[in-house]
Amino acid sequence: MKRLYVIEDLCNGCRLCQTFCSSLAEGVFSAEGRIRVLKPSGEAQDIPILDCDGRCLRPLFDAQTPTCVSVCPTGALLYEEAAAAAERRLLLAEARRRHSLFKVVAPWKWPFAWQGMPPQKGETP
Amino acid sequence: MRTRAAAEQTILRVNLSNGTMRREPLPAEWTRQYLGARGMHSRLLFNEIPPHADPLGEENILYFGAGPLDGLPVGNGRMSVACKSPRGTVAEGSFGGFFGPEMRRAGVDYIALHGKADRPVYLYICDEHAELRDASHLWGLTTDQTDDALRRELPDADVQLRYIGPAGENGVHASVILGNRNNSGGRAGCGEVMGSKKLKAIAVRGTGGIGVADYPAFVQAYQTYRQRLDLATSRDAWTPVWSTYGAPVLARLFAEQGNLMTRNAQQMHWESDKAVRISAEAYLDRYVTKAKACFSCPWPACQKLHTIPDGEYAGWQGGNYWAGQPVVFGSLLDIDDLDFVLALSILCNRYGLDIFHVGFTLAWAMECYEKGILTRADTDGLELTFGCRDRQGLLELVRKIALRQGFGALLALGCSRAARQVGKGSERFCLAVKDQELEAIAQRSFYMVALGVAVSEVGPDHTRWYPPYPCNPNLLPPEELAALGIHLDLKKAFEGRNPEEKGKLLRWFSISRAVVESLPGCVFLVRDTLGLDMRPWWQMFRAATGMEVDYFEFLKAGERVINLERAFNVREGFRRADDHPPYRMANEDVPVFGFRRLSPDIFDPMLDEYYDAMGWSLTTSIPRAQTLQALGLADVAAALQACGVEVEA
Amino acid sequence: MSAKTLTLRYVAHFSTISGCLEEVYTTRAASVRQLIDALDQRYPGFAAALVDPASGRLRLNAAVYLNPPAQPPLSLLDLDRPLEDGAKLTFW
Ligand code: SF4
Ligand code: SF4
Ligand code: SF4
Repeated sequence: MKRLYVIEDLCNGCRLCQTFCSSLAEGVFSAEGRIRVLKPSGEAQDIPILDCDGRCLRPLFDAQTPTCVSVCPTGALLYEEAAAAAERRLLLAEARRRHSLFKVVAPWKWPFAWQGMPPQKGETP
Repeated sequence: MRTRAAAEQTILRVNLSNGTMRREPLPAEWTRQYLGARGMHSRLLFNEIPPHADPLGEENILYFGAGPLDGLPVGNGRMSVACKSPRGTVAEGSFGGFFGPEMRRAGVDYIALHGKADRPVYLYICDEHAELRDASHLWGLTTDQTDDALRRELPDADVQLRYIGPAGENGVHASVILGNRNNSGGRAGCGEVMGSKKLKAIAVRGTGGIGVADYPAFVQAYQTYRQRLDLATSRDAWTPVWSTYGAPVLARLFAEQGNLMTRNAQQMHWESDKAVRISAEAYLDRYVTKAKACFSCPWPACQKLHTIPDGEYAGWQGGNYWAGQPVVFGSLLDIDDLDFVLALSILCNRYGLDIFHVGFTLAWAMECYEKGILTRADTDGLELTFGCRDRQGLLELVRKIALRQGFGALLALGCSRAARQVGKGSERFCLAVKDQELEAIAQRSFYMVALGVAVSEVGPDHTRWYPPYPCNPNLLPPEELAALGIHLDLKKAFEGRNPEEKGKLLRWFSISRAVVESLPGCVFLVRDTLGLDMRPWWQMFRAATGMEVDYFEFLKAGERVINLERAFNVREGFRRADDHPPYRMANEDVPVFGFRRLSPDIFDPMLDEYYDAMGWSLTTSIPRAQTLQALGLADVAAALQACGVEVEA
Repeated sequence: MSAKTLTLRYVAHFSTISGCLEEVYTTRAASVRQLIDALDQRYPGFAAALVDPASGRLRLNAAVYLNPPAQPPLSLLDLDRPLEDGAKLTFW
């Protein structure tokens, strides 16, 4: 069964997920979503906390995808089967080993090829 | 939960002199006429700050303003801060972060700070509640210390803060206001004015919600907007680059193109290996710890947090490497050590200094030193050469600028005023317009930038005409452009070094960016066709506010804003002669590629074309009566005439 | 056809594909398009990131800047432009 997963260290703290989620019931935008992004120390950390399994109140952009996942720009939110979610995590780890770009964006959000590239200079393969 | 309508705009007026406060709604028709944020400020500044008010006196008013789209997932958390600049012009700047949406949720869309406190205070707003609190214990703290101290004092993780550092407290000319640690705004003098009011910080917390008039239409317009900006769908070479690596990629490109101001713009070419050492790629590799974004930004990583991992500045933390730092602390000073560039930038943020002010003023001082105009006797013994080997000394000098001590006191004036004091021809290489230091983009190869910087009502500010390297002109066929009211030969207009069409192009950019900054939204997000086809912005505005306004009427708001800002400056005595590039750009050719100086035969026709397109007098730059009339600003013409300004028919 | 020595600069994601920021490269490619094909052999994915497979033109979300020897730089739109010895190309 698909459910929501969070990759915390990809989250940039934009709160698009929370803001859109808050509007799904009544069309009012606030900070009261079923997903909330905690910022316990100013802007140093962004921690998305879920109170939802992904059966979305109202998928706004694509019937199969929860609204929060559709709007998330970095790839920090996943709506997947457990095995597929695990695969994504491994893909991210592999991408990060190869290139620093993937510190800030998930490889599946990236529109260009990246696989098969040679290791970074100075990196021991 | 308290719900407000997106169209509602309320101002909180705080009199710092006597501690009184009141909330009042702004006239509903102003939302149609000026939208919000920067636009609303243009009207408030013109109406409320008396002519020739002392910028550091009781009469100056400092405004913080959100707008109708703030708090909605398209406002990008942008907001405007405005006052009369200590340089006499309008001071207005745009802020990113999370403060604007929090204001809206607290039911306060604008904060007007009148008068002056007699001891340091900070303003705390929580929904309906607002109070001034003692800030003696915060006075003198750096911005990161202030952030920490206020978070301990107001133990609600979601409280949003804006504050000044020691530079603003000490009246340093171009100090900025900061918030969310690394977002700054108001470089035209807002930090200095905030310090003069003894206001150290504003804290706001809001728990309400914002309702839009037509939710389905809003979501639909959002989808179009998002499609133009998403990594996967944006038809723009800038989108993948800026949204991940960020704007500093420009330095490495410009270094080879005759576009990178090097050694105080004596050269416009920088060695490639130096540019590589301070590149966006090197930054991402070595320093970045995580991606950051303003509220509701559709891009993954325009902003970042960074830590210097080892070496002399090991453990120094900060955020955001923009297009600015690789120029102002890199090529301009000929420094190619990214640890040091970041250390300078982190120090500026801590002290609340503007990086452009510091970078261009240091570069001016280095050229003075190189030419023997300043010596070690002037610089407190610092060997102030380009490339600066005495790193500790240079960091110490930056501290001294913020504290206005020793040689730092001279540089705290900014390069124009410092050059006037030092003389000996140093005015000729001080890179400023209307006494405000330039920014990072070259003028002699991007004529629209030269023009935009020269005419800007707030002094050099790239957000007024961003981007100078616009989208693919073929995305919109000519018929569609004409239907959008753009009557320009885009091919010519987009040629960097062709003076033709630049006045008309700048008119379009100024008006459309004023619209974006008034909604507000982020001007960096005008990629794909969003910078020429403003309909998605217009649709989101209509759906949010429920206001039926026609597309061209909507764009007119931007025109009103520029005319009001221009009228403010005119009333203060600014005229055509003040709209001029710096001496070096107007009188010295670029030493590579045969790029020419902006001599009068190039510059003056562009300026004429711009004034003409705006409906302003060619001789004085004063908006003509018929122009103001057509925009519904007849009262502005009358107010100018009442001050003895001659307004042409 | 004689060999040409070029300076190639890779900005942002092109550096993720090539694994370096710049290099001096000698090639017999006659046009920019041929150069891109040659680079694609070295750096798989390089051509796909630059060229739209449907039209064969430069992708709308990529750019190439060309510094012909001793001339002002330009933004390149025509991939069939001949290559000159000593040119610098920036892939963006
Ligand atoms: S799945 Fe829908 S309801 Fe659940 S958190 Fe995401 S947006 Fe909210
Ligand atoms: S939308 Fe994604 S990146 Fe933004 S706050 Fe939510 S989880 Fe984080
Ligand atoms: S593009 Fe950058 S500055 Fe603009 S809203 Fe996004 S994060 Fe903020």
